[in-house]
Order: sequence, then structure tokens, then C-alpha cells
Amino acid sequence: MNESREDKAAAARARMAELAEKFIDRTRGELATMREHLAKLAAGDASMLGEIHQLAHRMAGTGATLGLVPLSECAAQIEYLAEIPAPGAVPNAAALAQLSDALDALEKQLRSAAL
Amino acid sequence: MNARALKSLLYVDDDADIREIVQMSLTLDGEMTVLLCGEGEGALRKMRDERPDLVVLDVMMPGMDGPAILARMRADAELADIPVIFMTAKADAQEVARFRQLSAIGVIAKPFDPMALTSQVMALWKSHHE
Repeated sequence: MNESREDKAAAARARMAELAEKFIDRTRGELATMREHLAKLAAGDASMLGEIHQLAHRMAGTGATLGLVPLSECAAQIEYLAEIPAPGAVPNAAALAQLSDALDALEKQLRSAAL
Repeated sequence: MNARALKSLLYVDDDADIREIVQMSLTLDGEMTVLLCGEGEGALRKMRDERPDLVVLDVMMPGMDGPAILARMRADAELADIPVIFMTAKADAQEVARFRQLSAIGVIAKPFDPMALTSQVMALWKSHHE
């Protein structure tokens, strides 16, 4: 039997709700990874900024497409802060503190998304 | 010029969730074959093997990004004529102009509305053939 567009749309919405739950779980793990990257960045490993940027970029895009707008906005702020100022440059203390605050905001948002 | 039917499309994105959502969205109307790939080299192979009518590329991907894949396509006689659409979170006028200069037929902004993606793709496809 052929599915109607309405049936397919309903199935797609249900699948997106599942993907959103999985996305929230995965984002928890990626937040921990970003915190590790930030610690290495603070210790002088400039390459970690690009890693944080890449994770945040994907998180922002996927979150928004899945309708998790506040979470996506937190990720977009991290992505913005992790824009590479110059090749090999390590952000100064104030910029590192801003990134840390942005990760805290993401964690807060993840907690409320899980409620 | 009449738009020929859009029967097959290859979507390239490193994010598996987005690939799945795009496939669900573009098959809601049941008319299109949607091929998927998560990285550039595999995408180029799939284009040669499957000859999709249209390629939709995410812009920012690790390794070969969307513009780099397009450059490889345009330098390859087998793939040079396949139309390309970019999908990007940075769809401001300047970026859209830059992508069009690279020969993209259009740009779709991310995040997209999954229920409206087919009509966005079809509008760009039709305007390309006008």
C-alpha cells in the first residue's frame, strides 16, 4: 500500500523527535569533549580551537534543524567564539573565559532540554 | 526551456542526522531517488557511478568541503555538467553571490524546514532550467 504524504510527514516528524533525543545525548558527550579541548587550548595547543569550532558548528546546525533552538543558539555562540583569529593563535585569558562561560551555558541548556 | 524532471539527487553532508532528515524530507512526495554521502571522495565516486541529476552540498565539512567538491566536479569532464546547490548556515548575500560565482545554481539556508525542503529544491531546479 502506498503511504500518503501525510503519513510520511507524520513518520518523519516522529523520527525527528527520536533524532532530537539522540542528539541531546550525543551533545552531552561532545560537551565533555569540548571541555577537554578547551583545557588543552589553555595549555597552548592552538589546534584545539578548530576542533571546538567544528563540533559547535555541527551542533548548532543539527540542533536548529531538529527544532532545538535554544540549544542551537548556545552552540552557535561557541562556534562564534571559536572562530580562528589567526593560524596558530591561542586565545587570550579573557577569550578563554568567554568560551568556558559559553560551554557552561550549553550545559545549562542541555539540563533543561532533558527535563 | 522546460525543466526536465528531477529524478535523482545526491546529498553530501558529514552529519548523519542531517543526511537522514534531508532524505526523509525529499522523499515525502515519493518521486525522487535520494542518494547520500558523508564525505567528498566518496561523493565524487558516487556521482560517477550513479550520475544524479542534481548534487546538493553542505558547505562546511571536515576534509574536502563543499566548494572543494564543486571545484573537483567542474574539473572533471564526467561531472562538470551536474548542477549543484549549496546548503549553508551562512547564506548572506555575499556568500550566495560567491557560491553562484563558483557555478552553484542556488543556495539553501540552514536550518531548513524539513517539510518545505522539496519545494525549495524544486524552485531552484526549475529556475536553473528557465
